[in-house]
This record gives sequence, C-alpha cells and structure tokens, in this order.
Amino acid sequence: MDPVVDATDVSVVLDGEVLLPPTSLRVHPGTSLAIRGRNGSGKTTLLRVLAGLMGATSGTALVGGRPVDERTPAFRRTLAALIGPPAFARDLTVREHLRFIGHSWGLSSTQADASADELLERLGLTALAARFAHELSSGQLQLFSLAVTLARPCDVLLLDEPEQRLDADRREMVAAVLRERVTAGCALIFSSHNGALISALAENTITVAEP
Amino acid sequence: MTGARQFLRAARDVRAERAGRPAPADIAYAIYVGVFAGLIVLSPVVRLAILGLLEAEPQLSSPAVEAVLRVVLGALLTALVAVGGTRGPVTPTSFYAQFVGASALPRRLTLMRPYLLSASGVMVVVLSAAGLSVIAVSLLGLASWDSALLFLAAVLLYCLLLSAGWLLGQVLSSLTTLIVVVVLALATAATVVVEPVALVTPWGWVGRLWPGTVVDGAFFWWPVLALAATAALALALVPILLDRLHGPTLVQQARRWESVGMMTTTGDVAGALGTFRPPPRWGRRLHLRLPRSRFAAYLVRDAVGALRTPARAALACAVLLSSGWLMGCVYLVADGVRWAPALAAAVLAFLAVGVFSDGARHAAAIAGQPPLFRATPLQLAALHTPFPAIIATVFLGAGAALTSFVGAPAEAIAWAVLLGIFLVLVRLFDAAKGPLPVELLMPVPTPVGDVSILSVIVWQSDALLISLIAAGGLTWLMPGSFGTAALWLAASTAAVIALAIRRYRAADAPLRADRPRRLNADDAAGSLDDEDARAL
Repeated sequence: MDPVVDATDVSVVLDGEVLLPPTSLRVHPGTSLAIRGRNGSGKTTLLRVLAGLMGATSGTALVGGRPVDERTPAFRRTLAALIGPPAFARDLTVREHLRFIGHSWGLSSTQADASADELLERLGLTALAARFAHELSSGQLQLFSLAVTLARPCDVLLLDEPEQRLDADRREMVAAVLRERVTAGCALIFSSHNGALISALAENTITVAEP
Repeated sequence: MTGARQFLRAARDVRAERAGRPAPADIAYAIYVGVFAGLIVLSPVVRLAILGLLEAEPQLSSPAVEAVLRVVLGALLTALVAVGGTRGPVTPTSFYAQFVGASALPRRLTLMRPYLLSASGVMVVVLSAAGLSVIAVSLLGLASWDSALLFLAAVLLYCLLLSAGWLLGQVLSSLTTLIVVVVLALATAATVVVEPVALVTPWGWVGRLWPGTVVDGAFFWWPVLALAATAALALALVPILLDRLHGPTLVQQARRWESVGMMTTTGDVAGALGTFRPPPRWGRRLHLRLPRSRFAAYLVRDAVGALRTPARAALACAVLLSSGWLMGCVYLVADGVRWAPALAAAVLAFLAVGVFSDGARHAAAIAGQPPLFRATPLQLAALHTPFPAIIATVFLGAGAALTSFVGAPAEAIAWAVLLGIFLVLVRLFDAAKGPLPVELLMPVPTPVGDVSILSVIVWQSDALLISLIAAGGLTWLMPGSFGTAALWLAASTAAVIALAIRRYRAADAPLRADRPRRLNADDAAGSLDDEDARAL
C-alpha cells in the first residue's frame, strides 16, 4: 500500500537559521507516527509543512500522492490538523460548532447532530455543549479544539501536542478516540512530549534532530 | 475636605512624576503642531462648512429646521446614555481608577475632575457645531445677534444635560439603560410626530430657539428658563451619580480604554474595535436549524448569531434606519451641504454594518489555519455576506423611504440600498486586514514634523475612507446623471471585491520561509481560481 504521507528530506531554513533540519517520514493509512524532539527542534515546523501552512525550503512532501498545497480542494478534504488554537466563532456554542463543521462537509442536519453529540460524549464535553467558546477553561478549550478538528472527515490527521493542558484521565480519553480513528483507516501524525500518550497511540516514532 | 484635596493633589503629583512631566520644549512643540493642524486641517473644513451653510438659506430659515434640531439633539442625548455603559464620561487611567477611585474619599470628589474634562469635551464639540450654524445664519441676516446668543446659551445649557445623561448611562445597569434609551428614543420621535410633546422636552426647547426662524424681538424666554432649571437639576444630580459609580465598572472601562489606546497607537484598530464587541451571554438555547442549502444555512446561522447580542443588533438596526433617513435627506438639502448628510450616513452605515459582519471576521480569522470547513476562507466570507446585505437593504431602505413622505424621490431608496450592499462588501474587505506593515512606521520628516502618522492613519482607516469616497462620489454624481452615478458605484464595488479577494487569498497563502506572511502582501495575490470566483 502506498504511503498517504511521504516526506523526503524536508527542511526549513530562514535567513540562515535552521527551523527544521532535513527530515523524512512515511505514514500509511491506518497507522500512526509520533514525532519526538526537544523544544525548538522543529516538530511544529514539520507539521506546518505537512499541513501546507509553511513552505519547505528543500525536500519534497506528498499527501495523498500529491504535492502539499492547501489551496486545492482535494488536499483540504484529505488532511485535518490541529496546530495551535483554532479561531472559534464568537456567536456559536460548542455543539453548534461541531454541527456546523459536519454540515459544511456534506452531512445532513440529522447526521451532523448525531455526529456532534457522539463526539461531545466521547470527549466528555456533553455538559459544555451549550457554552460559548469564551466560557471554557484552558483545558476545556484544548478538548474543544480537538473536537472541532475531529468533527470533519479526513484521511490524514496532524496534531501538535494534543495532550497540552489535559489531566491524565482526559489524555486517556483522547488517546482512545484517536486510536479508534486510526483503526478506522486514518493516518495519524502527532508531536508529543508525553511518553504515556506515545506508548498508547504510536506504532512508529521519529525524533527530529536539533538544528 | 482640605485634607482630601491635599491627598488628591499628592496622588496627581505622584502620577505626573511616574508619567514624566512634559518638558517646556514638548509643550512648545505640541502648541506648534496644534496651530499647524488647525490651519491646515481645521480651517478649510470650517470654511467649507460655512460656505455650504450659506448656500442653504432656504433650509436654514425653514420651519423644518426646528424639527430636525429636535431629532438631532434628542438622538444625541439618547446615544450618550446608550454609550455610557461602554465608555462613560468618567474614564480615568486604570491606576487612578484603582487607587484613587477606590480610596475612602467620596467619589464626587475623586472623580469630578475626569467628569468635568469629558463634559467640557462634549461642550466644545456641540457648541462648535451650533456656533458654525449660528455664524451662517447671522451672515445671511436671518437672525439678530441677541437671538443667536440666546440659542447658543440654550445649547450650552443642553450640553450640561448631555453630560449628565452620559454619566447616567455609566451608572445604570444595562437593563435600566436599555429602558431609558427606548423611552428617550420614543420621546424624540414623538416630538416630531406629535408637536405638543416638543413643548415638554429639553431638545424641543432648544429647537424652539433656533435663530433662523425666531421673529426679531419675540424672544421665547420660557424655553431658556426651562432649560436652565433642567440643567441645574442635572448639575445637582452629577455628584450623586458620581458617588453611585461602581468601582469594578470604572476599572473595567479604564482598562478597556487604555488597551484601545494602545492598540490604536500600534495600528491594531481591528483589535481596538473588538474590545467594544460584547461576547454573547444568552440565546444559547436558540435552536440553530441547518437547511441543506449552504446559502440558507449561513443565513440562518448569522441571524441566530446576531440575536445572541440583541441590544447590539437592535442598536445597529436603529443606526441603519437613521443612516437611511440621512441618505434620503441628501435630496432635501441644498447642494452646498449635501455632503454632510451623505458622509454622516456613510459613516453610520459603515459602523452599523460591522455589527452584522462577525461571520466575515471569523472567516478571515481562520485564514492561514488548517481547514475546519470545506469552504475556503474567501468562500466562507462570501457565504456570510447575504445576512448583513439583507439587514442593510431592509433598514437603509426603510430609513430612506421615510424621507419620501417629506419630498425625497423614490430613487433615494434605491441608492441607500445599493450603498448599503457596497458597505457590506467593504466590511468583508476590512475583515481580512492584517497587521500594520512596519514600513509605514518609517519617519517622514517635513517642516511641520514627522508626518508618518498620516500614512498610518490612512492605512488604519482605509475601509472607512473607501466608504466615504464612494458615498461622496455618489452624492456628487447623483443629481446629474443616474447612469454616471450607477457606473461609479459599480466601479467602486468591483474594486472592493478585487481588493477583498486579494486580501483573503494573501491571508490564506502558505507561509514561505523566505517571505514571511503578511495578510496584505502584494505577492500573495494571484489570479482567481474558479471556486473563489464562484464564491463572490
């Protein structure tokens, strides 16, 4: 089976500063890869390159067999990512965000409702369904950020330190939800400093060398 | 009380030392810049206003002026009471609000000086406008000097009432403020519809004294006496209201105002305006039905979103209605002053349409982030356009339609609606504005000092300037040829759409390591792809 994400020697150098040393990785559908490395080693930069948010200065990156280009509808359909906090709509509740995202990807109103409710329950957010984003704590916002990222369909999921600001119970809950996605055929690439999460989720790991 | 005054003086001295006392050279430079700014900027505006007013002799001596004055002055009082909860007259620095406002001294003493400063600002602005009108009326020989002075005295007394009303808005709870605002708005409308109501309202008394229609020798002393009594009552209420100001409200408003000042100084006007947008707190149980059609789904979503800040939405609708009325008034006033209602209408409509542009702002905010929605940010912004366009059409059209009862032609409604839709597109363009380009902060030395601030101001207010230029051009062309005016608006609309597409595409372009992202980067705009073109 062809890899759904295939990066060869991608690197980012800005004005002589190495933000990401040459790095290669391959991930197949239904598998997961953890990216390890010290703070500042380039983990987030690598994810940004794969998500099409930043251009690599050398090397090649393919997602779904095509060069990374977030402007193409096919790429947008293939890849979902959580890299930094998403911008939430100030006038939509937690549940409405999930419903609206599902609806925008073609779910009917009923399907979007059911999908949103299931995701809220799996991530322990049901009690917060009627809150606005500005009414959530930082940990709740992290769970909500994961929820909106998972509310849309995708073949490749990129997550930058999904364990941020979560307690041990929530981390286990998130790991279980992500494991299900991988079992369903999604390719997961995530950066993390948490050994327990990496053990629970990752089949493979790479370590980004310090620039 | 002497001890209290000494304490206050000491506190002010400490604050002045912390802030750094201005050197004599700084003061001299400020005066130098002020004089030049007055000569270069203010004097042409004053001259233009007086010349315009001189052309409006029939209108200035018309009995309708009295009704217009009633509406303007009543609306001003209503607006100040409404604004008080967001930015009241007592907005000292947060340091002052926290340490002096919260001291054991009575607030009528500690907060009187900030109040008087704001009250004098109101007085300067309102009296200046009244003074210009009075000068024009006197030059035209429509009024004697004593009737003109009597009118200015009445305006001065009314200013005391305005300042007290502003303070009242700062003291009252939001619900009570809403009630007072509704009552004042209804009373203002009643003074026009039911003539006798004007006899018992302060703005009616001021209108009664308009020198352009007062017959020489027949002074109406009773409105001045009534205004003096009302102003005295308002003055007596001020210390009581100052004592009733809530500490947390003072600190909150002071901090908000400081952050607005900081953001404006650093060029983040969007951030500054954002601090005035109240987050929704209610309406979370409103059911958001999602029709299958994307167009309908976004329309419903935006309508529900607007209902979640009902006071803000209602105020914006009222402002749009007033703006439409002003657009209709363009046809009713003399050529020389036509620009005044047109530009005022454009500014008001621009501000009000912004209230319904949260969707476009969200679409711009997700640009450059991993996609959550199927549509691109530009497509999302386009999908968020119909709701504000419908609101602008309804309320601007209705406002303009009101003027048809007093002689404005039906085409005023069409122009109001078309300008409203144009302003919605300007808002869409404005939403995707990026951070201030650092090149604009480079010094531009001239004989009157560094004028780099001018380019910063132009950059900060580009959307508003585009709105004013479009509205100004339309007003200039409208009386001549319908076709030319339509062409002007169509060309303006096409330019704004092109600029908006350029901005959204730049904002969503991937960051290049050798070329950092800037939302309005010249290089990021490319040809339209099919999806983006269809979205608009």
